[in-house]
Amino acid sequence: MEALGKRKRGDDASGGDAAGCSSGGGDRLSALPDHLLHEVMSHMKARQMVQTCVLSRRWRHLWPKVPCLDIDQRELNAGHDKFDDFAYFLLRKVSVARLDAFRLHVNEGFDRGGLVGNASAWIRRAIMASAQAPPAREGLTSSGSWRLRRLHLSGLRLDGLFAEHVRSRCPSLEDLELRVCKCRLRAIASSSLESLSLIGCSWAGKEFSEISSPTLKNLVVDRGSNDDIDSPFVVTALALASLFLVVTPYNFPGGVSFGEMPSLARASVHLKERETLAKRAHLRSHLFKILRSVSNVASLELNGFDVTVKAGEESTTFPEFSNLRTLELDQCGLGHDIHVSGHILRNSPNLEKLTLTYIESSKDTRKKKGTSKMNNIDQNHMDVRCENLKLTKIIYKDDDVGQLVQFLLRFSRNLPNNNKTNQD
Amino acid sequence: MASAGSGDEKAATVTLISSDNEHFEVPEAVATLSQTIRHMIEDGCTDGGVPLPNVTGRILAKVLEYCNKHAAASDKDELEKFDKAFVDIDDQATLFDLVMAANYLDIRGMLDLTCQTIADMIKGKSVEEIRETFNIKNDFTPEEEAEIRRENQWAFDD
Repeated sequence: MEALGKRKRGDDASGGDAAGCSSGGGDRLSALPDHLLHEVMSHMKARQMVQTCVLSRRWRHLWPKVPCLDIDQRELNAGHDKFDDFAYFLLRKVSVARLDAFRLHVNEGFDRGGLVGNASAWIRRAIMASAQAPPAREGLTSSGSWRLRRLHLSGLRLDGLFAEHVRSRCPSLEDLELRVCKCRLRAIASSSLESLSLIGCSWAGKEFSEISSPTLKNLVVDRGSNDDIDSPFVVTALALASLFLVVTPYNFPGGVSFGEMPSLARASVHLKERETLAKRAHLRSHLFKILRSVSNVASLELNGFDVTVKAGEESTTFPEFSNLRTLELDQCGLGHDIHVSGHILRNSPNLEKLTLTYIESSKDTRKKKGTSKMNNIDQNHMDVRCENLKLTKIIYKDDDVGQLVQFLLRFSRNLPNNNKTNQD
Repeated sequence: MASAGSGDEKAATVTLISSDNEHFEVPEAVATLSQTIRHMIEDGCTDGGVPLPNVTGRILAKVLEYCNKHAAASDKDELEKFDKAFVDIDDQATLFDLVMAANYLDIRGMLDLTCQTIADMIKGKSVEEIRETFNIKNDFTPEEEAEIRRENQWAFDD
């Protein structure tokens, strides 16, 4: 490591001139070696990063070799033309193929092709330029391959060209995030991907069906919409350890089908627009299927899963959650046994830590219905087997106390560590 | 707290020696947050201690504060709070010393944290404000500076 002169020794409170973080006279920033300045630039957005070229001679030619690029339309706060120009000139100086990480955020509605913004075209052309490179000779990585480890795209239109590129020319890609993208592609496949996030994406045409990656550890599918009501969304990810789903009536109309996931340790399932979901039988069965697929996890979080299990659905629906140690139920109904949450509690013999959050608005008449149902429940259904329960945390809001106490009494001999928080 | 190794024997430690000859005995589980030290332990060259000529005792103490916390805690919120307080430093010299130490010791998390902090100090500032904050001397002639701005007009406001 080269010694970089000028380091102030011994003075903890260096004679600072300015308030806040004082520099004490030297320019320690410019004194950092190139690669550390690139590290700092990797945390900056593109326009400000480019502007460093005018700070001093030291900085003039630094930025084009930056390993991480973050192009964000919001940083420019400008109209289409200015953003278009900016990205055009920037991408001529920095080759996406050589980046370690690339983030491109385009405002929703900006990229409609044609005369209006066409950010997707930049990516397509960068991909096509790489595809034109000669194919790999045996054993060598193709010169058209991208070194990218992290790619985050927001607001773009993506198609088969993109999918093929990810599949075959991104051998180091570990982290892929697509946010509010309009996708017309068949599958996302990769042999290196570890983390995949699909947030608010729409899948057009009856094509998209599969996520496939033997290395995938974390998967997030958050809202979005899918045209294809017939085929299920297939996830083939043997190594998956963590799953986060936000399910709406629109994103898994054909259901979702998970392959074997022996390493799945943690799952979170949030429901939005629950009323609509709960009413449609085929959507309900999709929900139960999701629960079955994650039944071997050690840690489960359910949010908004205020869903009742109808007569006849029980036996086919609820496996044992035999590995479940930690359960968080948020807005999932008060554990009526006819609710999903009650079923899960009954089938989790090794549960150690339970967190219940239930903050119901007083405007909700459903709550009142629930109260009377509680009183009529057959006592035989009260048997909950959580003998190892070590810690219970309940976050509730004012007038639910009565129901909560009733609910608690069902477990009472098993609740050594109780922590109740009233949140107003 | 750093957990002891399994079994009854005391957890393995390694001694780090700062440039000003302060000795720090550190559990291996904590020290190996530094890839540099991890490689040395794996190569078996840590007997008698590891000299770190580029890091003073004062900075090494801070680095170990970071490593201790990150080796032990697993709660994300807790770590975030710690990190925020860790880089809430009044003098730039310490911040830059930490960047250099994180780089030399190859502690990825700390390097990201400190570089992010510097980037945050730059964010939103004009070129002149950045120069002022960090004492960067503008060694361009006015003509040179104008030329650079013209060449990169697409990145500067009109």
